[in-house]
Amino acid sequence: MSWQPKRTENQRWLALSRTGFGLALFVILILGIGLAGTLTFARDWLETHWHLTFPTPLAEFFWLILALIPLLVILLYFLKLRRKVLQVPSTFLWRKSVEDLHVNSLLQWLKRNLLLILQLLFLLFVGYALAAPTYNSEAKGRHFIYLVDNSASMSATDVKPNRLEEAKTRLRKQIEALDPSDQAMLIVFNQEAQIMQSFTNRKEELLQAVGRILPTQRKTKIEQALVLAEGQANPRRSSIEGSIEDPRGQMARSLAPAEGLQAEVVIFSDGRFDDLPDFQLGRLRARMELIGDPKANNVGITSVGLRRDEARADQYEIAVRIQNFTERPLPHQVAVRLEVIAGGARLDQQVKPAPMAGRTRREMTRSDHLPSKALFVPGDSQPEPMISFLIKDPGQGYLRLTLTDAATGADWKDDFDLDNQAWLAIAPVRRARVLWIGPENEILDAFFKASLERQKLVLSRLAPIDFEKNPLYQEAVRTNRFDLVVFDRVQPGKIEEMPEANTFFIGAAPPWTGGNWSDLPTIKGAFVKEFRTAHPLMRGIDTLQGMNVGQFKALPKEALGQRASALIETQLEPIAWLLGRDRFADLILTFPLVVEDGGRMVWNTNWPKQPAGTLPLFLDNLLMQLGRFKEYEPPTPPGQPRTFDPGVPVTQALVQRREPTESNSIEVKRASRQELIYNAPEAVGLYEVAWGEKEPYRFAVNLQDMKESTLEPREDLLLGEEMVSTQQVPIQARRELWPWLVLAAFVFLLLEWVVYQRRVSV
Amino acid sequence: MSVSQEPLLQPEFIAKLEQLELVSRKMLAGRFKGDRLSKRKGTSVEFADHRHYAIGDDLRFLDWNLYARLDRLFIKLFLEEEDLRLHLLIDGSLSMDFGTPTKLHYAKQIAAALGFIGLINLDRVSAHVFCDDLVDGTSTLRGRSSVWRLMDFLKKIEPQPGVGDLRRSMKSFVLRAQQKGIAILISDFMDKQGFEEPLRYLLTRQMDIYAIQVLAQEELEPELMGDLRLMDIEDEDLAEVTVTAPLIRRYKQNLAGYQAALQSFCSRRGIHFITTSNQAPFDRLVLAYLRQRGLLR
Repeated sequence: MSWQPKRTENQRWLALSRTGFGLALFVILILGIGLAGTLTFARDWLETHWHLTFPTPLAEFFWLILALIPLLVILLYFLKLRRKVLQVPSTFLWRKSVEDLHVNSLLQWLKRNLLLILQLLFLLFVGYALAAPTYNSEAKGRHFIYLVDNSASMSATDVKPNRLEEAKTRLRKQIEALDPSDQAMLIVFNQEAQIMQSFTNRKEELLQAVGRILPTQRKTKIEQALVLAEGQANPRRSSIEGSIEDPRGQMARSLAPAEGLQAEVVIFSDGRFDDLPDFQLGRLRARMELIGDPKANNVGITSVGLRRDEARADQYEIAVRIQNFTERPLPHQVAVRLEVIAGGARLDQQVKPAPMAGRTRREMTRSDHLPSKALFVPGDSQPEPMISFLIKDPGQGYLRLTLTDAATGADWKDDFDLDNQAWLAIAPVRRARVLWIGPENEILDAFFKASLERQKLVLSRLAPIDFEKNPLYQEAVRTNRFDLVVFDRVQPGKIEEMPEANTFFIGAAPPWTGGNWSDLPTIKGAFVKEFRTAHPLMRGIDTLQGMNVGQFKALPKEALGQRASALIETQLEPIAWLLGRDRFADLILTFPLVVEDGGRMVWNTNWPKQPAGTLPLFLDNLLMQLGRFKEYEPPTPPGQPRTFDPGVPVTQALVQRREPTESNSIEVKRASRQELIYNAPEAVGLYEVAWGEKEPYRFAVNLQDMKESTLEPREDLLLGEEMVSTQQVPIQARRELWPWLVLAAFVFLLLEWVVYQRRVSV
Repeated sequence: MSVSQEPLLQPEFIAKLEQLELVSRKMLAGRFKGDRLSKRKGTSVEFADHRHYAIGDDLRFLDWNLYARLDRLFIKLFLEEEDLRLHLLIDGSLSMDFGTPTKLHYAKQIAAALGFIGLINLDRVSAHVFCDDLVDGTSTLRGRSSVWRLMDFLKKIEPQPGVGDLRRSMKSFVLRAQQKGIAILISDFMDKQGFEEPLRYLLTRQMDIYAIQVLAQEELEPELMGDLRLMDIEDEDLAEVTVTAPLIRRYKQNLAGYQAALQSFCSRRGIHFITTSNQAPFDRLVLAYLRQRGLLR
């Protein structure tokens, strides 16, 4: 008969603790070997494969001492030196209890040795901390050049909130990950490049510079940014650098070429720029952070043209090109709305549907050893690529083109807003200032009258006699009061009396040294053989077949000068010349339009009777080219300086964006030049410039850029001879891991304390 | 630990003890005439039985009335009144020298109280101290006049060096004590050889056995800490323990199990088992608890 303690309890725990303890010992062993390994044989391997280095501050001697401590601890445990002897009445029950627990003793043993394990772990972690493991320790002293694209396409909202913000967020992350020893600079680029922050290792400065990046609506050109980066990184100099110790112990100096910085260029962009196969990266390494979603939606207006309808002179024909940059065709969704606005009121509105084809993709071979390049061809409207509108000439005002939702009529929504609207400023954009000198001429008279009606010009007239003495003419000689001076059968006597303007001589010629127009012999009976069809002055003129001239004169060689070109040639001599004079041009018709014949004026040429109205066309072209008349103002892209010539002597003008409305206006002052220059139409819209006239001068700023409208981020980038990686690379940040290890050691210490406290508390 | 100089029994406590007497559930044969009835027939005034007359019987006990009625001779038998044999067995091993008061002192007090009660009731009382064997003992004491001798003996008991051996001690005791009676064994029963055999020895004499286990508070609620080498005070056995909460729990379980085993062993064999702590008030143990258990009346 004997009493038995319960021995079956917690069998499961027992097994678990048994394995747990074994495992713990194993882990400690592995950790110990690991620690020894990291300091010896595995050091290089860890560095190459895991980017872990161990720049321990301790000498080997100290490590040996440190290695002894765990051994000492273990020794103490097994020697049990610290047990206190205590007398008890009988060890009988104690022995039984201990034996009892020995039966499921591993748990007990583990508990007892948990302290040992924890102490060993503590020591191990202290050891690891002292080994000072550093992740990416080479990630220091690097140079980064961040190029951030803030062009128009970066305003696309396919990534929220928009691409530029996304780029800034990614950039901030990279800056945060920089080591204090790293240096970075920040360049922002659109069609120009600007250094936002030169090389610094202060993250705050970089982050502030990132905060200063604002979106623009400009085009993308990366060349300048790369040149800037390259210039910063690769200075053009050589230096005496370093020294080599030769075997005899003497110091030898070597002349090292300037190697520049091994900098990494990180381009934050959607890549809407061309490959740069000719660019030399030097020691730069480039990487691209692609921003943007390949599935971005965009339909945009890519070009707007206006011309006067040939059949009806009071009508304009507007041709709009709309392109679909999305893969999906949009057969019914999009429409385009044209509004004609003049005098603050909408005169006309037309909406036309724009059935869009989808974007197609083409592979383009770059060269043999390079991967082919994907080319995205945007879809045009069907069936005609251009959508045209006919409007009545409002005389003044502007046109607004808006993409709309065909179903609802609301404005079209896609990921890129800037190309959804376009504007066009129409007359009076600029009237030609013409001074007409000469006797009666019914042909000219009729033309000028018609042009005056259309507000194409401002005409001043002088009688032929003694016109040189007239103050108006004298002003024309001194200043650029006139754009065009018409000399009809008269000419100034001296070269110095030529006006500061383009001239149009009819049956006359500018004076030249060594000759005189009136002394030239008159030739009769010429018909036109050919003319310069490509010349702007001959624009719209298809044929001059059958045109003949009664009497004319042949200009001698010495009168022609160097920049002369014949516009119209006959079977005999050219009858129309364009001569260059400083910055002006002189157009010469060597025949008069009308001649006096028996006391009455008769036509010298059948040109006015030619079909298709080639003479008025020619004169219109003259007004445009030499008189600088503009029917409409071609829109400028954002960010391009805009010059305009008020034509009247004003010193300043106010520029204000009318659409979308912007309240503040900018004062533009005239510098030494004749034109006023407005430097910063940064945003798309319609601008009005006021300098005191009743009707303001208008110009439009439209994006109209296929590259910016293409939202597809590029797949690769060829820079020099290298394909730049567009893969996202995890940020390599240098990290010292020892604080974590110290923390872990501290946790083990704490645990040890807790366990110790727990096991002694009854 | 030195022997406590204070008297084992306080006078007022003695006064209370005067009222008590020892009870044996067994009718035990005494040697001398005493105060209690014996199984043996004898000469008391209490009638027990009749039997036929045999030649040589004392004629004085013939039942004449019966003879008259039945014309047969019967002898009247009377119950004999006898004294009670009380053996006080006190564990004097070193292990008893623990606690405040020491377990030994507590044991001596119990022995003194029970011995006193026995003496004043004309029982024959003897006290024995044992350790590795019976070490010392009194002669058989009887009567109030012997109280001082008993007390003197008890007072002088010192913890005995050597390894306690309950078995051998009991064996020696049983060989010596031929007579039946009440045996009161006061010990901590912390014997590594077990308690079964010694108790069985006692049982062979068919004694009315009381086993009183005295434990020190330190044994019941150990307050040890840390990693220790526990040294057995008797055999200097070393036990290395790391005191943890589970160990303490296990110890208590073991102690309870041990006591339960003792209890069950005893109750199955008609042994009264009483366990007490040295912290339990001694007078209550005697006046209330032992009376409850039927040892005293």
